[in-house]
Amino acid sequence: MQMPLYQQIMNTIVEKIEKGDYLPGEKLPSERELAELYDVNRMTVKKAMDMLVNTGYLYRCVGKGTFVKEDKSKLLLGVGRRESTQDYGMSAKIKNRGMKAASSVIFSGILQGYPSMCTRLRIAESEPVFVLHRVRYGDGEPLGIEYTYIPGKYFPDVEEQDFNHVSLYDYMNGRGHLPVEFRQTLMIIRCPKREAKYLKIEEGETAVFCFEYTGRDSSGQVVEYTRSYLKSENVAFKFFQYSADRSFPACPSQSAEVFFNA
Amino acid sequence: MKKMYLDVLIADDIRSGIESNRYPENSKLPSEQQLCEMYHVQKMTIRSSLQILKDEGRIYSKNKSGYYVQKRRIVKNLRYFRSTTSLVESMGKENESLLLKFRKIPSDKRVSQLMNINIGTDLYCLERLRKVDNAPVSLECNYIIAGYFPGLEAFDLSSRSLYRIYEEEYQVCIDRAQMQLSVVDADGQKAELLEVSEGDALIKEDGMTYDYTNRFVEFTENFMRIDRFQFIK
Repeated sequence: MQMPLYQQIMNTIVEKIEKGDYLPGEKLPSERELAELYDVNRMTVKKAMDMLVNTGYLYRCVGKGTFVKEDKSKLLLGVGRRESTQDYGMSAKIKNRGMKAASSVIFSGILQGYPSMCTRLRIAESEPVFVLHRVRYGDGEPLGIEYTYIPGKYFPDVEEQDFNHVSLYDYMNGRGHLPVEFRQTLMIIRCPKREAKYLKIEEGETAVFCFEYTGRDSSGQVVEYTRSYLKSENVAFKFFQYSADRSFPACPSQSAEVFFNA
Repeated sequence: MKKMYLDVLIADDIRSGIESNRYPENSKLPSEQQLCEMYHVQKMTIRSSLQILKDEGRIYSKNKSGYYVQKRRIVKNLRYFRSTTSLVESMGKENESLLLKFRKIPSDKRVSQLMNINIGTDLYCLERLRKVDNAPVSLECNYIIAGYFPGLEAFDLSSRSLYRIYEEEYQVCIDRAQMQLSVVDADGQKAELLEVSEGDALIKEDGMTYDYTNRFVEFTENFMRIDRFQFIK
């Protein structure tokens, strides 16, 4: 027996929410538009939408329309996964959540004679380090602070860029040194004073995610070291964890036994 | 353009000293005066650098006697499973797991929704408090599909690794987990167990674990003190 039409439409919408075609907070097409799209009666669409409102997928705003309910975690970031080259960096992730991304540069410039940073970047002490400190915004709200250091030698014209408008990763990619592999560490800490001010949160009271990552380009060279402080409210990090790389578990699988006994 | 924050750079230099073990755990850092001379800056700048490291939980001050390097965090690898017990032991520290709760329960609405199973499914609910060097670090809760592990209550869960029991006694091998890290406020009970103040931030690590036949085996919720863990990938 075929599934009732309204259920088919429900499933289609849920699928689109789960796939991210419809983002949290996004306005859905109107019932009339959906009815046309699926070539069904408007009442059928209404029934599907009612069900989705009741089950918590959608919510209605009187006079405005129907919206996808915000996930508890507004900014769901993967730790250290680069989905595709089109999707790198924090600004891409903010945009993917349907938010408007922006940055403001606190400091940028060349620095020399900073031995521990040279070690982090695997360069000689005499070589220049380009420093870029930025506040990152999503929909005008400060989300995080990034203290980035990159080896100047791969990026001779880096000082001429205006990173208030240019994406750092777009620039690095353009120079053939996009970081593609990361070693990351994450801690949750009480927000230090200066970061609290930029993020507009209470100093010392609020916990923030503190990331540190070292990025290497496709030839394996270190091209970036960044420390970032990210607001923890409405943010969750998703990750997959695996048992140590073993194709076969230590214990015999039951199906194998059945097979050999047969 | 504003000036660069020198305190950030100095903090990072001291941080690298801690990471490279130039300043080992519990050792005393050079005095503010010495640091001023080392970095050629004013006392204000050094104080600010030290405050950054204090907020980060890297150092602590002892009443006027100076700054000391904080205990090392337990470094958890987000990529591969490793039992926290063996991790702690490899750091040369004492590990203890207190069994707070172990009983069979029918899944309630919250857990059923989280686990995507029918309400009333039999679960083993296991709660353990982990202590490292006698101080609580995390509260670990497992909701285990009871049907896969009949008689699980017979085993000593305070000393044996749970995954080892799965493997050795039930031939269930864990392959992967789909996890999530977030920050939550400690409620009264968790605050008391973990020895923090109510409302303090805790790390919550939660997710679903699957075995080699891709069966969903357990849902875990782990509440950790923020100052005792670090994650790497």
